[in-house]
Amino acid sequence: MMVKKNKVSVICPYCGAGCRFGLIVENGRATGIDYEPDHPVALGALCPKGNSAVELLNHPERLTFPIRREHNGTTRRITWDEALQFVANKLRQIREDFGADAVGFLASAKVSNEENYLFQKLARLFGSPHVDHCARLCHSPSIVALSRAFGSGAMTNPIPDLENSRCILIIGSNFSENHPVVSRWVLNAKDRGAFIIAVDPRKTPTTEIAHIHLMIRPGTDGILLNAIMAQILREGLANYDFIASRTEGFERLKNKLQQFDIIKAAEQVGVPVGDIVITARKYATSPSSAIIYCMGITQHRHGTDYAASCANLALLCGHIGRSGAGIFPLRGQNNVQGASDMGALAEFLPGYVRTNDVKKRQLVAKLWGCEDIPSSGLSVTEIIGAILDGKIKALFVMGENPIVSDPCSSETEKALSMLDLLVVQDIFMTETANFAHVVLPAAMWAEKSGSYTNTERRVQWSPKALNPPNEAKSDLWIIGNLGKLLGLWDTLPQPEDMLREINQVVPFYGGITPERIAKSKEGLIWPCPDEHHPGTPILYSEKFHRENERATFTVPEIDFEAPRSFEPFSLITGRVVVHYNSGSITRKLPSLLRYTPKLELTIHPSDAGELGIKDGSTVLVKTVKGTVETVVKVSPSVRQGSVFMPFHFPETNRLTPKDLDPMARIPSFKDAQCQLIRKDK
Amino acid sequence: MQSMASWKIFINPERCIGCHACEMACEQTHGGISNIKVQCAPVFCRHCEVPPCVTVCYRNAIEMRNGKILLIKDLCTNCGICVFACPFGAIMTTTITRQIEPGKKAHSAVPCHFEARSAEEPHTEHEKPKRSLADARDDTPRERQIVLVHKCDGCLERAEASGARPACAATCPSGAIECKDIAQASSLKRIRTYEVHLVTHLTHREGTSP
Amino acid sequence: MKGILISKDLCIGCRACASACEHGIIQIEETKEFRKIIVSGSCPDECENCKDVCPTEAIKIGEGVVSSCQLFGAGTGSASTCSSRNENQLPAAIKLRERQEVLFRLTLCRRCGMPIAPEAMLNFISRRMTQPLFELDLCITCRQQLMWEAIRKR
Repeated sequence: MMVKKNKVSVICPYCGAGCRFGLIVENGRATGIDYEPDHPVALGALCPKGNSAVELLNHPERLTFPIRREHNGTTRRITWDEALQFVANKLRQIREDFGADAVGFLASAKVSNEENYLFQKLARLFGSPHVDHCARLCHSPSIVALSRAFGSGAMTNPIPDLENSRCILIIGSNFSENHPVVSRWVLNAKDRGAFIIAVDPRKTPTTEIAHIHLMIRPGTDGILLNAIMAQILREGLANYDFIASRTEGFERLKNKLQQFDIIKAAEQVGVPVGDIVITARKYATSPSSAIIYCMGITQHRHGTDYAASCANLALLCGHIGRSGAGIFPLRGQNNVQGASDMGALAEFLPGYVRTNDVKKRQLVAKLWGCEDIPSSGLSVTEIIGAILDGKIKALFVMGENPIVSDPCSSETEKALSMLDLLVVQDIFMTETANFAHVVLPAAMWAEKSGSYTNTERRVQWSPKALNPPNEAKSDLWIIGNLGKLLGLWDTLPQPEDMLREINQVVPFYGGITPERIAKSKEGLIWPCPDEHHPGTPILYSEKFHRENERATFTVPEIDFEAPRSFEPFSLITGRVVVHYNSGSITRKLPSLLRYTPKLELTIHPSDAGELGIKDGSTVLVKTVKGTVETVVKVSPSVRQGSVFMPFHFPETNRLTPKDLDPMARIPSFKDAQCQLIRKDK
Repeated sequence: MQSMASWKIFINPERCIGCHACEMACEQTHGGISNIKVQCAPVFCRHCEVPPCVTVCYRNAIEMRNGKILLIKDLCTNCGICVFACPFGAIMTTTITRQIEPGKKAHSAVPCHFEARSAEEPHTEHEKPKRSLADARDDTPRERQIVLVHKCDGCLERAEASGARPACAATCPSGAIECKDIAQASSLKRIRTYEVHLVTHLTHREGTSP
Repeated sequence: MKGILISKDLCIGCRACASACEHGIIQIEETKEFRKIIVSGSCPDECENCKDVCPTEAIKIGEGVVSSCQLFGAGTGSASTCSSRNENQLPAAIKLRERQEVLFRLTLCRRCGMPIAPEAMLNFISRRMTQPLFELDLCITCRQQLMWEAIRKR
């Protein structure tokens, strides 16, 4: 029998680096990986997660048929007709009884642009304003702060451009574990003589790359950034030409910074004042400097202010808008940038049209053939709150796992149990799917065609390489058919048709047509307004995206004088290299799980000594939100008074706080404090 | 690659981020067993110019081909002697499960490894098992565990078949593992030379530099 | 049935014979301190794999086992049996060996204390090396860990 062997070039389903690799398919089954060196971001490289792709595609626990769960908890297999009819009828009934705004829709950072676009369109045509997704939990501060400062909320330069920087400030990012391919470019810059600074309360493989590591007290990022800016001003190192010609709002910030006591700041931050001075000088005086940041900056009560401070720093020194100079908020998921671009957010429509901007909103409505579109809705965690208040009765979850990803899991569990209807569309029976009344089996990325936008704003086409197993269907097929049943449209769109509609509705995707990107290995970087436009790798080289084409400095809302203290321990949550987000995928893959098979809390040796615990001891971790049990790892990679837990395991978010940053509405995951209780044997 | 013999796999430990991608790529290219172990940087065969493993192998089961040191599976007895002869710990052992083949013959021992081996020396022919496994009594074990000795083969087969780079170098996200022509790799040559130095002079002792 | 005899003096405690044995006759038992090569009986087959793969020719196979001295030469075994006649005779006093154990103490790693290999095996390696190998008393994991540390220090 002839073995039909094929190689299809797909985009990696994991992080926002957007690497490409060849998937080898034999007789309709994924069997191997081929590395493709001619791709600009990774040069063919693939981190451990990407290398697990074959194991993932062939996983025996895939959901392969629709499931109905009764009130007594028993599940049974149902047909697609049954499933979709049930969901459509129930949604209609709830809309009739309680209103369309009693239904929430959680989009996915992992499905294609076409699928997210159709999903938010379904939600809004249905009448609900509550569309959101997990970007809320990670980079919503970036979207808010950077849009405000520059006009767009995205990363400004492509990843390989980092090798052209002469100074790289890494703050709150552990890219060596979470965006491993970024490491190459930072190391290239270092080889060429760039000065690398890392700011992180922990020692990580990323901080090991840096020339200096500012191991700050948790939650003092804002103080540090402002101290650096204050020092730059003091030494006359600001780029006044740039400030004058391309920005506004400097005076207000300057007044605030002039009062900054850098010595006091150094004490509060917990680093030598000399390190702050070096950082300030190196960043300001290098010909081109870059700032890389991630969750360490955003997942705070004042995450938006911290992100705004990063923008201020770049503007202060004019390090933006050219090669080697820019801001790099590293987006986490393979298509979280795309999900944001497609308007799967409570305050945005596709193309970042504000839902509360009536005029612009109605232009989109016209393109959709309807009168108007609902205004702003609730964000991910606010939806959970609204369920608990009895205001939301139904939730449609596509490719998300809020039980594990959202803070304060006990509340999420309680909320989901209260729903009249919970629909989960996913590839595995996740912790969230276990609560669902209907579970819809979805196809994986390689089993459908679509476009995905990585953290560089690079839109790439990932073609279908093999069929989904059994009755699993692409998210586009599911949403398309559901929309038909709900009477929202007549035909089931193909991915290419959907992208063409996106070209019409989202101006900066205007020239990113299926024809152009399907035949391109490296895709197109938005803004790409028309079919002849080559894309825009570096933003703001001529003008910013605000109305007057200038960027603006923003003065932070909070008073940085009084940093928060975390007693007895600051609880920092984060990631490890072999796992991915809620772990719903990676905890099922033995080739990855073997490296980090279980949850471990990292504690400093002195703290361990005082508590009488050692490597392998079991402890109870207690916060106001809950208590969990875990094993301990003793290491000086955390500060004294600080502990670390990876959030890939369901226990971790049982502990985290729900307080939201007021502007971006991101939960303050990293502002947690906990108690440790030794568990005696 | 122009000439198979002129490229080497260089490791730059300063670039290693400890992600284990190389182990996974190696394992997927070698039937589920990785020839790499990541300690503070990936460890695998350095394909030394003067290899101690070749010196100690009493079976001539390790040979040099196209600048790579290859462990010939059909000749190897899994004795483990080469494992302890490698100063880098680059020859590894993994316990595997194998089918029992009652009639399988081991190649006769070749006591002196300086005896010339002809290029056409055939691989070991396996006799048909005297009893088929289907006929065996129920309580006869059909599988057994052995400790397999294995090491990096420079992905030579991959290279000879399709010119593909070694899997580890292809996958390394940070560029810590690179496959380069010796002539072209100047700074990496410094690290490579030290590895060669370690093996040929063997004056390295923990805590002192030669 | 063929008897298998391992010479305690020649055997270096490697794994070749156990790996080669498809009949489960030769096994290896290992603890943190010791490695035991166990011959659990006689071989039911014509196979001589164990003898063929032994690096030191420490294994003899025969119809019935006589004494070590007769098989491996003078200096092994007791004086009284050495005075027995030629190899083809089976002295009635000597039984067919049913079970044989060769015990080796494992050399421990000087850095981490974990077992490396039998000392006899490490000596065998040492004798065959053209240059001294200072890593002989380090286990494989420690060698791997030290390799890059040494290079980095330079």
